[in-house]
Amino acid sequence: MAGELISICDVTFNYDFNGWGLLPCSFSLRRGEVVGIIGPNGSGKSTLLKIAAGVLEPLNGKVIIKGREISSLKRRDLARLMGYLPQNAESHNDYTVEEVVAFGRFPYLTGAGFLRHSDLEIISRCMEKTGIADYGRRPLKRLSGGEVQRVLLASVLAQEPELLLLDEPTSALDLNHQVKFFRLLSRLASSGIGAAVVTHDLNLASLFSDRIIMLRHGEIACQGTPDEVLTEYALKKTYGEEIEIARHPANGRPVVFPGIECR
Amino acid sequence: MLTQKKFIFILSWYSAISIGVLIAAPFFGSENLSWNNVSGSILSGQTNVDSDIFFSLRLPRVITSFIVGGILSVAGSALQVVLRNPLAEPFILGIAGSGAVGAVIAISIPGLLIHLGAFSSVQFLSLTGSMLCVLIIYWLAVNKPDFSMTNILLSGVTINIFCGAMILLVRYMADPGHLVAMDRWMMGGLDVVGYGEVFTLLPLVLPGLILLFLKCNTLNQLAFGEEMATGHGVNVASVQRHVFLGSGLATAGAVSIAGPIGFVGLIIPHAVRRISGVDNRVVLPSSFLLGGAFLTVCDLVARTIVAPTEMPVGIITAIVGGPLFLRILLKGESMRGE
Repeated sequence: MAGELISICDVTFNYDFNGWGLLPCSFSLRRGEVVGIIGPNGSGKSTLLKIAAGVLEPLNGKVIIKGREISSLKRRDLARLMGYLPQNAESHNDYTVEEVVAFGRFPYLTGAGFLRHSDLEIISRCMEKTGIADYGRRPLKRLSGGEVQRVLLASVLAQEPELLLLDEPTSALDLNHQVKFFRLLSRLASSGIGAAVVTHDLNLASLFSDRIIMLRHGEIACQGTPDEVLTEYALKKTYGEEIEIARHPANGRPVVFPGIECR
Repeated sequence: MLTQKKFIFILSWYSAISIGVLIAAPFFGSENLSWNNVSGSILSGQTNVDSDIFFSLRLPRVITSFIVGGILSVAGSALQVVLRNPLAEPFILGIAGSGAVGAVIAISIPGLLIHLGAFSSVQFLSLTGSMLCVLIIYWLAVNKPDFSMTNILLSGVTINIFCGAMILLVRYMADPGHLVAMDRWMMGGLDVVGYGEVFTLLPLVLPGLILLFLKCNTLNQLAFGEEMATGHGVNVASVQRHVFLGSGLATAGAVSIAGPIGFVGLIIPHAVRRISGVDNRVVLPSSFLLGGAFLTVCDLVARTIVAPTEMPVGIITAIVGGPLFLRILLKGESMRGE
């Protein structure tokens, strides 16, 4: 379909070591769209994202990137189209912030991989976008968890992708940085980038996503706008807890909180 | 960040150290040679005792020790990245153990007449043993794509344990008169004569080193794990295969000539990272140069410290390497504390 950056068509997957499997899943992502992927632990969110990113090969089904099957694309070509940020990426080496962001230019470099003037400009822009322009020569180990996440996002943005796949990018962040991160994603979407974000935070998913995909037991339980997906019935069926829904005073989007008796 | 200028500057320093060691080392030994006699021989074209010793005995040995030290260091640095384990070194995949099995079998069979070029039967069977291990590890990497790096590492440890048992078996069944030769081989040694072994070694070692050097920049991408590297456009499985094959081939060649010389492949990469940073475009070539210089100096000590006899170079690298490694670790910690 026109404007679709990625289409996941009936993909399935099985882990040999425990037999857990992903049932046929399909979704697509368009330019300028932010899609939140939610679900309980073990529901298949990260697996689905890894299949979309080409990290895992599906047993069945297809992944289509801008009209081409993912298997027909070379790794570097794929990296120029799509940026993937996995969960819990960490390094034990003493790279500086600049060096880590520069990793994102790998798909465009040849030979020994020395950066050109144009690469340095792109790196600088990505660092400004993520608010780490002043951190250049700092060793990564001296940054906080939130700052490291922004560095890794800058590294992914340095690939100049049209599509972002982010797996729990805000899990280590405080509320302030979580909101800033999602605001940044919104700005990137406004510039035409499509983003799929796995998150446990239902409220941030509701506030910042154009669409939400909810997984349950290895399959897509429902997908649609936040209003369509975040219903008391769907949430109770997926999470197994009493849930209550309110409306955000600013934009009327559903806001979720557990329905427990007050002390 | 690494620029071309900085890269050339750093490598020039390591090259200068290496060239200095390569020029000076042959002059020292149980008998020190005269610079005037050797240089005079080169200029006049007429040989003398010093120049004969220099060109026939000392220089081939120095070149061999440099190449072996360089190989072990490059292989160690690449494996530490791919296996994401700072304690990885070239022998962790079982290559030295397998080579040792081949060597002790050859030593236990007197009069064995299998040769490869200038390689003796001991060197040839050691090479065969090591290459068998390389093929096993490479087969695992190609045919078991779901095998994690931890599993590959454990496979290497298993191979080492198995080879250890095989060595004990061979030693148990061997003539007691051969046991000293077996022990001596396993301590490592660089007592080559002439250039034959170096030339026989090169066709095996060069492709291995080339495979590793081609992956320098790609290895940086593995810093944040395989998934992040895949996201950046790296074919991780291909890189892992290249590194296993390249380090395996080069290490197999090194072990067949010099036996299992420990510590070099472990400490040199860490020393280079402390001195020059963690960019693998610098670490790999610098490890080759510094590792080559280090082993050459260790061999120099080995052949002079108990002159006129020689100490196995593996003892020197262990005695020097252990405390040096601790110092590097402690200095790194104190710098982080500051």
